[in-house]
Amino acid sequence: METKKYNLQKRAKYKLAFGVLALSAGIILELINPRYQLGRVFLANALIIAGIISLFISVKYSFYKKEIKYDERDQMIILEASKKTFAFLIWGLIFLMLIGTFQIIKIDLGYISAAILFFLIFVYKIHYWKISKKK
Amino acid sequence: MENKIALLRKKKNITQEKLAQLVDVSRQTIISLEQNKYNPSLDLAYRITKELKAKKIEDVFLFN
Repeated sequence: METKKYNLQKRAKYKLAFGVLALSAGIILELINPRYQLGRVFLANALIIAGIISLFISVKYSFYKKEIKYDERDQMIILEASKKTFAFLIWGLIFLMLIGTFQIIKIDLGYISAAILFFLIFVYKIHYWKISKKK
Repeated sequence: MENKIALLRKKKNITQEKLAQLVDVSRQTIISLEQNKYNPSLDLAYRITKELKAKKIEDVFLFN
Protein backbone atom coordinates (compact mmCIF):
# COMPACT_ATOMS: atom_id res chain seq x y z
CA MET A 1 0.00 0.00 0.00
CA GLU A 2 1.19 3.45 -0.87
CA THR A 3 1.97 5.94 1.91
CA LYS A 4 -0.58 8.74 1.89
CA LYS A 5 0.48 12.22 2.89
CA TYR A 6 -1.83 14.99 4.04
CA ASN A 7 -1.02 18.66 4.27
CA LEU A 8 -3.02 19.72 7.31
CA GLN A 9 -2.27 23.43 6.84
CA LYS A 10 -4.18 23.27 3.55
CA ARG A 11 -7.01 21.32 5.13
CA ALA A 12 -7.21 23.87 7.96
CA LYS A 13 -8.29 26.52 5.43
CA TYR A 14 -11.18 24.36 4.16
CA LYS A 15 -12.22 23.55 7.72
CA LEU A 16 -12.12 27.25 8.61
CA ALA A 17 -14.27 28.16 5.58
CA PHE A 18 -16.79 25.41 6.39
CA GLY A 19 -16.81 26.37 10.09
CA VAL A 20 -17.50 30.05 9.38
CA LEU A 21 -20.24 29.18 6.84
CA ALA A 22 -21.94 26.63 9.13
CA LEU A 23 -21.71 28.89 12.17
CA SER A 24 -23.13 31.93 10.37
CA ALA A 25 -25.91 29.85 8.77
CA GLY A 26 -26.74 28.39 12.19
CA ILE A 27 -26.82 31.81 13.86
CA ILE A 28 -29.03 33.25 11.06
CA LEU A 29 -31.43 30.30 11.38
CA GLU A 30 -31.50 30.72 15.16
CA LEU A 31 -32.30 34.43 14.76
CA ILE A 32 -35.06 33.79 12.20
CA ASN A 33 -36.26 31.06 14.55
CA PRO A 34 -38.46 29.01 12.23
CA ARG A 35 -40.95 26.90 14.12
CA TYR A 36 -42.84 24.21 12.34
CA GLN A 37 -45.85 22.28 13.50
CA LEU A 38 -43.87 19.07 13.08
CA GLY A 39 -41.81 19.77 16.16
CA ARG A 40 -38.53 21.36 17.14
CA VAL A 41 -36.01 22.45 14.54
CA PHE A 42 -32.62 20.92 15.20
CA LEU A 43 -30.90 22.31 12.12
CA ALA A 44 -29.77 25.61 13.67
CA ASN A 45 -28.27 23.92 16.72
CA ALA A 46 -26.66 21.22 14.59
CA LEU A 47 -25.09 23.83 12.29
CA ILE A 48 -23.75 25.84 15.23
CA ILE A 49 -22.23 22.72 16.82
CA ALA A 50 -20.74 21.58 13.46
CA GLY A 51 -19.34 25.08 12.90
CA ILE A 52 -17.71 25.26 16.34
CA ILE A 53 -16.21 21.75 15.96
CA SER A 54 -14.92 22.64 12.48
CA LEU A 55 -13.33 25.87 13.75
CA PHE A 56 -11.74 23.97 16.63
CA ILE A 57 -10.28 21.35 14.22
CA SER A 58 -9.08 24.14 11.91
CA VAL A 59 -7.15 25.79 14.78
CA LYS A 60 -5.72 22.38 15.77
CA TYR A 61 -4.62 21.62 12.17
CA SER A 62 -2.97 25.02 11.74
CA PHE A 63 -0.39 24.05 14.39
CA TYR A 64 0.79 21.01 12.37
CA LYS A 65 3.77 22.17 10.34
CA LYS A 66 4.75 18.73 9.03
CA GLU A 67 2.75 16.58 6.63
CA ILE A 68 0.80 13.77 8.25
CA LYS A 69 1.77 10.35 6.91
CA TYR A 70 -0.46 7.28 6.71
CA ASP A 71 1.72 4.32 5.78
CA GLU A 72 0.55 0.77 5.08
CA ARG A 73 0.41 -0.15 8.78
CA ASP A 74 -1.70 2.90 9.64
CA GLN A 75 -4.03 2.14 6.73
CA MET A 76 -4.36 -1.46 7.89
CA ILE A 77 -5.19 -0.31 11.45
CA ILE A 78 -7.79 2.19 10.14
CA LEU A 79 -9.38 -0.53 7.98
CA GLU A 80 -9.49 -3.08 10.82
CA ALA A 81 -10.90 -0.54 13.31
CA SER A 82 -13.53 0.59 10.79
CA LYS A 83 -14.57 -3.00 10.07
CA LYS A 84 -14.94 -3.77 13.78
CA THR A 85 -16.84 -0.53 14.43
CA PHE A 86 -19.22 -1.29 11.55
CA ALA A 87 -19.83 -4.80 12.90
CA PHE A 88 -20.46 -3.26 16.32
CA LEU A 89 -23.02 -0.87 14.78
CA ILE A 90 -24.83 -3.72 13.01
CA TRP A 91 -25.02 -5.84 16.16
CA GLY A 92 -26.10 -2.81 18.23
CA LEU A 93 -28.91 -2.01 15.79
CA ILE A 94 -30.01 -5.67 15.72
CA PHE A 95 -30.10 -5.61 19.53
CA LEU A 96 -32.21 -2.41 19.51
CA MET A 97 -34.49 -3.92 16.88
CA LEU A 98 -34.99 -7.04 19.03
CA ILE A 99 -35.83 -4.91 22.08
CA GLY A 100 -38.26 -2.97 19.90
CA THR A 101 -40.18 -6.14 19.05
CA PHE A 102 -41.48 -6.60 22.59
CA GLN A 103 -41.20 -3.08 23.98
CA ILE A 104 -42.08 0.14 22.14
CA ILE A 105 -39.16 2.55 22.52
CA LYS A 106 -40.03 6.24 22.46
CA ILE A 107 -36.77 8.15 22.24
CA ASP A 108 -36.07 11.48 20.60
CA LEU A 109 -34.46 10.76 17.21
CA GLY A 110 -32.11 13.76 17.54
CA TYR A 111 -30.73 12.51 20.86
CA ILE A 112 -30.47 8.86 19.85
CA SER A 113 -28.58 9.66 16.61
CA ALA A 114 -26.18 11.95 18.52
CA ALA A 115 -25.67 9.22 21.14
CA ILE A 116 -25.02 6.56 18.43
CA LEU A 117 -22.57 8.90 16.67
CA PHE A 118 -20.52 9.63 19.79
CA PHE A 119 -20.66 5.99 20.88
CA LEU A 120 -19.35 4.89 17.45
CA ILE A 121 -16.47 7.39 17.66
CA PHE A 122 -15.65 6.01 21.11
CA VAL A 123 -15.81 2.38 19.87
CA TYR A 124 -13.62 3.26 16.86
CA LYS A 125 -11.01 4.94 19.06
CA ILE A 126 -10.93 1.93 21.43
CA HIS A 127 -10.48 -0.48 18.50
CA TYR A 128 -7.82 1.75 16.92
CA TRP A 129 -5.88 1.83 20.17
CA LYS A 130 -6.22 -1.93 20.71
CA ILE A 131 -5.12 -2.86 17.17
CA SER A 132 -2.21 -0.39 17.14
CA LYS A 133 -0.96 -1.90 20.41
CA LYS A 134 -1.29 -5.42 19.03
CA LYS A 135 0.34 -4.81 15.61
CA MET B 1 7.57 -13.88 10.16
CA GLU B 2 10.78 -12.86 11.92
CA ASN B 3 13.33 -10.35 10.66
CA LYS B 4 16.83 -9.01 11.25
CA ILE B 5 16.00 -5.33 10.70
CA ALA B 6 17.23 -4.17 14.14
CA LEU B 7 20.49 -6.11 13.78
CA LEU B 8 21.26 -4.89 10.25
CA ARG B 9 20.17 -1.36 11.09
CA LYS B 10 22.54 -1.19 14.04
CA LYS B 11 25.35 -2.62 11.89
CA LYS B 12 24.77 0.14 9.34
CA ASN B 13 24.50 2.69 12.16
CA ILE B 14 21.10 3.93 11.04
CA THR B 15 18.50 5.18 13.49
CA GLN B 16 14.87 4.01 13.41
CA GLU B 17 13.82 7.53 12.41
CA LYS B 18 16.30 7.61 9.52
CA LEU B 19 15.25 4.17 8.24
CA ALA B 20 11.61 5.23 8.48
CA GLN B 21 12.38 8.29 6.36
CA LEU B 22 14.32 6.24 3.82
CA VAL B 23 11.53 3.71 3.28
CA ASP B 24 8.75 6.33 3.62
CA VAL B 25 6.92 4.94 6.66
CA SER B 26 6.44 6.11 10.24
CA ARG B 27 8.92 5.32 13.01
CA GLN B 28 6.15 3.38 14.77
CA THR B 29 6.00 0.99 11.80
CA ILE B 30 9.75 0.33 12.07
CA ILE B 31 9.34 -0.33 15.82
CA SER B 32 6.48 -2.77 15.11
CA LEU B 33 8.53 -4.51 12.43
CA GLU B 34 11.55 -4.87 14.73
CA GLN B 35 9.34 -6.32 17.44
CA ASN B 36 7.91 -8.82 14.88
CA LYS B 37 4.41 -7.52 15.55
CA TYR B 38 3.70 -6.44 11.99
CA ASN B 39 4.29 -8.30 8.72
CA PRO B 40 5.18 -5.85 5.93
CA SER B 41 3.92 -5.92 2.36
CA LEU B 42 6.28 -7.28 -0.30
CA ASP B 43 6.86 -3.72 -1.50
CA LEU B 44 7.93 -2.48 1.95
CA ALA B 45 10.05 -5.59 2.56
CA TYR B 46 11.85 -4.92 -0.73
CA ARG B 47 12.44 -1.24 0.13
CA ILE B 48 13.84 -2.15 3.57
CA THR B 49 16.10 -4.80 2.05
CA LYS B 50 17.38 -2.24 -0.46
CA GLU B 51 18.04 0.43 2.18
CA LEU B 52 19.82 -2.02 4.47
CA LYS B 53 21.99 -3.02 1.49
CA ALA B 54 21.12 -6.70 1.82
CA LYS B 55 21.31 -8.90 -1.28
CA LYS B 56 18.04 -10.79 -0.92
CA ILE B 57 14.79 -10.31 0.98
CA GLU B 58 15.52 -13.62 2.70
CA ASP B 59 18.66 -12.04 4.23
CA VAL B 60 16.44 -9.65 6.19
CA PHE B 61 13.14 -11.50 6.56
CA LEU B 62 12.97 -15.09 7.75
CA PHE B 63 10.01 -16.96 6.30
CA ASN B 64 9.21 -19.72 8.75
